[in-house]
Amino acid sequence: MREFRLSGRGSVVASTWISAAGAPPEFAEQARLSGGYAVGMVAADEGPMITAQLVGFLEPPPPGTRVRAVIRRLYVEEGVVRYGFKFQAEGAEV
Amino acid sequence: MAIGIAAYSCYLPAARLTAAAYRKAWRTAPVGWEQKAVADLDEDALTLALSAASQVDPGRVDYLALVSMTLPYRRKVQAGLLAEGLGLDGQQFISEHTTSRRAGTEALIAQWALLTLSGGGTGLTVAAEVPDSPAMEDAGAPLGAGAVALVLAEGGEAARLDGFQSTCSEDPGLLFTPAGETRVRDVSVPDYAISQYLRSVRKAALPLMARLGTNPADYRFLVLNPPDPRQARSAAKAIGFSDEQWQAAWPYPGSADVGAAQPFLGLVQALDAAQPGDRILLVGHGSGSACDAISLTAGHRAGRGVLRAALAGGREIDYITYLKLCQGV
Repeated sequence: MREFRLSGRGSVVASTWISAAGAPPEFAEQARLSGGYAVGMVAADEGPMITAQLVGFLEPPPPGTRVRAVIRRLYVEEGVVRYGFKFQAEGAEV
Repeated sequence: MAIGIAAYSCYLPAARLTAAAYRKAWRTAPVGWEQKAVADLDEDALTLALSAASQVDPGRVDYLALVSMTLPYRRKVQAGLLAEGLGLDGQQFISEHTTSRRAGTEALIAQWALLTLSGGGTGLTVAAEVPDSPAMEDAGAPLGAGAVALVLAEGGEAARLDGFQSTCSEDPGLLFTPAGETRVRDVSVPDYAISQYLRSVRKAALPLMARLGTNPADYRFLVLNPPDPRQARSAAKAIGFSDEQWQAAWPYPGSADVGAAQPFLGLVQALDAAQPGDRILLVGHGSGSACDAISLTAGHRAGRGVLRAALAGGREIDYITYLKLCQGV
């Protein structure tokens, strides 16, 4: 087994919208303030399928939407900020 | 060895509050800005720094400087997230510059010294701010979010660093936050504030130009970060510069005040418009007080439209959404 660094780029395979009522506790505040958020399954260009939040979308993006990974805050637990990757539309950061 | 800026980038969050939306909510116009970027709920100064830095490819990084007055923690090394997020190997000397609006130029000079002393290598300086003052209070109104990344290396294809002069003094009561608080306080004596600011700018800029043998007419751009935007004209005049020189490097109308990243954002605007050989005087001031004047000469990799591209990619939000994003409601 060897370490392999993904490019962070991929395509949305499926996505849905998580409303405030459906958000897990750690994301409830985010959902309450934003009115919900998109999550999706992303096929990385190198093959693996990854499930993550999709940021910058006002509705679930259609399959095939090109995305790239970005590091964002996930939630705060016992004062510790947890960071992780989410995906945003490719080209959203100029 | 000529050290300079090899590459640069900036990142502004997509959500934008316009002056019109602010005016609609408050019936008064904001001072000096037409729009500002607002961080999303899952963004903070560290993620903004990553977003800016990930747009430049410095190759190997030897020195990594993080600049921000609004980092998520008061006590914790935080540049490590930046190093890991950029895929660096963790063998960098990191420094964090956090206590005033002058932190950006402070970091730039420190990296310059490190590169000069070590005889080479690559430095990455990243400044980022996400306002933490209450959005509905006067102190929060002029604050915007944004980040700038500068790659420093020998050669400096975007801009060569020609010299600097710093000054410091003890000026109590101006834009300070006591330990244990987050609010920015000020004694609100405008004459005192502007006299101390102008004195700092003069004490840094005039000796630098004298030492380099330059005068204001030799510079195409003057970058300023006054604590009050209305003081920019006075500062330029105090050191013999024209309105055209500072206004050509004044991103404030499109960004509002991005704190310690403000001098770098002005530098990016200047570099975007510069021709090779154009001189830039960068003046970074922090209340308390300290001031750095840095003289640069643009190189052939300046003029890349970086700020214009960042400003163009936004979506307008209303004032209620702004408050939600600032977690003010």
